[in-house]
Amino acid sequence: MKRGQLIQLRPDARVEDLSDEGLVAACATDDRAARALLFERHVYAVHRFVSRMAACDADAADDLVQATFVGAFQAAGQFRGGHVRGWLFGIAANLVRGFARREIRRKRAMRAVAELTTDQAGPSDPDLARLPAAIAALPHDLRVALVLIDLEGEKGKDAAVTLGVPEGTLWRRVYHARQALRAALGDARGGDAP
Amino acid sequence: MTCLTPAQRAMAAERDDDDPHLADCLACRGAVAEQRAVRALARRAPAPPLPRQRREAIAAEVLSRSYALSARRTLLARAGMTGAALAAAAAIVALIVWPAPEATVAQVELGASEVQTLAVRGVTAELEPALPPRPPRAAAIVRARGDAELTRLTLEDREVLQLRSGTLIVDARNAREVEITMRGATVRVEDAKLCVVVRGGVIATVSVFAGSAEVTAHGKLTVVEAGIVWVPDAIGPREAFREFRVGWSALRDGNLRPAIAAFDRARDPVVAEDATYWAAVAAERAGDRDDAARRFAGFVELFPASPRAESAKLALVRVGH
Repeated sequence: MKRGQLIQLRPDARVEDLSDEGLVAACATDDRAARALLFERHVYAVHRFVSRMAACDADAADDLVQATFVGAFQAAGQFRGGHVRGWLFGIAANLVRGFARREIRRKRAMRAVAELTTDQAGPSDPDLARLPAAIAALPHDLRVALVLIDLEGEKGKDAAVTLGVPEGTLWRRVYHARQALRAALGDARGGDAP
Repeated sequence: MTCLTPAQRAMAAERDDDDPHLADCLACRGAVAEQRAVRALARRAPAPPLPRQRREAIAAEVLSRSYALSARRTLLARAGMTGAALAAAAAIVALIVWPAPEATVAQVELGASEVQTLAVRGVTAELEPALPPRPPRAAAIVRARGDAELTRLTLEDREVLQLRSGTLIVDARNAREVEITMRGATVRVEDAKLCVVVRGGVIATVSVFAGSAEVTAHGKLTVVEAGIVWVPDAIGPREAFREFRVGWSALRDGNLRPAIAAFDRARDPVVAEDATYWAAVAAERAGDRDDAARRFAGFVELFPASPRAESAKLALVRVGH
């Protein structure tokens, strides 16, 4: 090394190299690039989760996704490590719960929501076509457990942490949600098993 | 033999290998099969689509809202600190001048030479006259760069600067309000520091370093906060975010000039800080040391509190600034 040469002791930290947890930490310091990257990494998952949970129209889903990320950026300072996607799902689930309450008050029933979701689904399988409405009709606690495990493919341990419940409670909810779905789909078809 | 609990049945549906109990228990086997059937159906559910345009619109809104929240939080923190300092000062003053317990003083705002006596709860207290009027605030520090052409007019309550061309740096912190006028635009500066660039009589940029300024151009008022560069006809947050993404992709692909051009177009506050930094990085990678130095220096000046400010300073050394 030549005399007087400047050496860089630590390589430039690149935000795109950060782990999810590192990104959340950077978000807590109002780093806009970190926010943008966290958004990029998880927007599809959060959108999918919110759409399945809320069974709402596209505009409402977009609003919920926005609120989830804005809430996450605000709460980034309180993040204590763990599964970032699950953490985002937890924020989204709480927002969806509030959204559902408002929707129920406004529309008086999930029937209206079901009408919206069947417009969106449109798969050829009749069970699949009815699935969003059947999920939307589940109680919130059962719905969020089912969406996390069966639709989003989260691990039981992570989903339990996301919801703040013991793992056994989570699986019990998943069981009852599946039972309710089976009954709903069976009823809609005239009692046949799925 | 004890049957599986609901939770165990749900968990068993996740596993490929069957629980030994299922071999002997018809009820549990049936329940687990039902669980698996519903799970398989749910797994086949199509993902709701999120087209690119909607995703970009959400991104712009999210980043814009989070930026506004950060700015508000900073303002509240400053206000809180100021409030705490004032409260502490008031407490100290109260401790020093607080009268003996038997006396009660009522404070009434009076004219400069008036002296008034009031009876409060049977105690007579002579009131002090109000303080003399405060001296007018000092004039703002105005520095013109190069061949700036301007006219300065000092009024009783403010200063008016008419800028025809060139660069003007105004520091109006703890000073009288300054109004900078040019063709089609007015900039009001109160307790702030900024730089205004006018080219050909038309406002080109307003860079606010401290406080905030009001820019009125073509009848539209915009409040420009510290750390932001205002440019006329700036594109909105959605377009800015799109341009930023274009620049980012180009930078990754090694298309450095298009990357710089795209970052330069991304001037909305939502992405301005990042776009400015990455434009400088692109200039450095392109081997244009002068441009890189100018851009990194501009970044450090505009965004001194940025988490990348240190990297930018290192880069300045690297490019030989």
